[in-house]
Amino acid sequence: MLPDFDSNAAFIWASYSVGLLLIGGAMVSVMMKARAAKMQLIRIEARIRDQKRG
Amino acid sequence: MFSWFANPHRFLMLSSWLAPLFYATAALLIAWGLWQGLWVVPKDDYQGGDIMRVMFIHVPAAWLAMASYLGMAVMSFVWFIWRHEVADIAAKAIAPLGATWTALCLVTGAIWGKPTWGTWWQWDDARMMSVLFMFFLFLGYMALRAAMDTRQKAARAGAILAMVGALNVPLIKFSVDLFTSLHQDASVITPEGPKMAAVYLWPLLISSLGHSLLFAALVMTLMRAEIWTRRAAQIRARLMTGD
Repeated sequence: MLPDFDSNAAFIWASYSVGLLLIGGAMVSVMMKARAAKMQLIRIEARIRDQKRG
Repeated sequence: MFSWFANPHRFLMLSSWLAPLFYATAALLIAWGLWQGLWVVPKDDYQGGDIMRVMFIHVPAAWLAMASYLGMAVMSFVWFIWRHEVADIAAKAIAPLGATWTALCLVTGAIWGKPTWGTWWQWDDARMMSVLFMFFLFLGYMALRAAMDTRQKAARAGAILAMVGALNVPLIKFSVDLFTSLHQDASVITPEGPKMAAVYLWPLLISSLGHSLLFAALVMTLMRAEIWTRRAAQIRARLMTGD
């Protein structure tokens, strides 16, 4: 159940929506970057292993 | 002490359990802060009614914006003096996240300002302008690093900008005392102690701690990504030279 605010409800919800958007966006971006970096390292390490095996 | 933390391998080991712990704790604290801020605490008619609930997101964002800039400057200083790679990686990781929380502070501040002061923005308000300047410092730091052709040059140029820009942080803090500002005087960190009622103070502090832990966890995740990227680049360089 949503709280019942006074006439400034739109401003309050707008603030928290911006917070959700910015922080959520930052989290998604950071997770994607970390995942991409990890995959890149795994791929290059696998290539080295393949090269060593000949 | 710096040298102990400066080992990337040790950092990866430490952050592999510390970051998830911080994410989980941050989620709990932020959820509790939101519940308190939106549902539980009474509205404050002296502060304009329900609009003061914006405080539970605006103030943690403002504190974290300043703290993150100081963190970036300290890490830059550590890199500048001791050349510890992990310190440079930390400074680089803090910048985009610091910019995000500074943007959050600016936007929520504007939203709070409209119903409270009748304006979204005041160009001659020292607090607003110094925070906006800090936002541009974060962006400038990232742009400067990106413009350099070697990692060493990027770290050096970024470190100098971060350290010089740190002078802006005390200006933000004391701007309401030194200059004319729409903002009220400090009400939490004052020489006499907090002036705010406990019913608002505790949710604010808990929320701020939650934001700080989330920020720290995200910085650690970005640092891990940067260490992996640098390691991959080293291996690729070695493969190219045939070592």
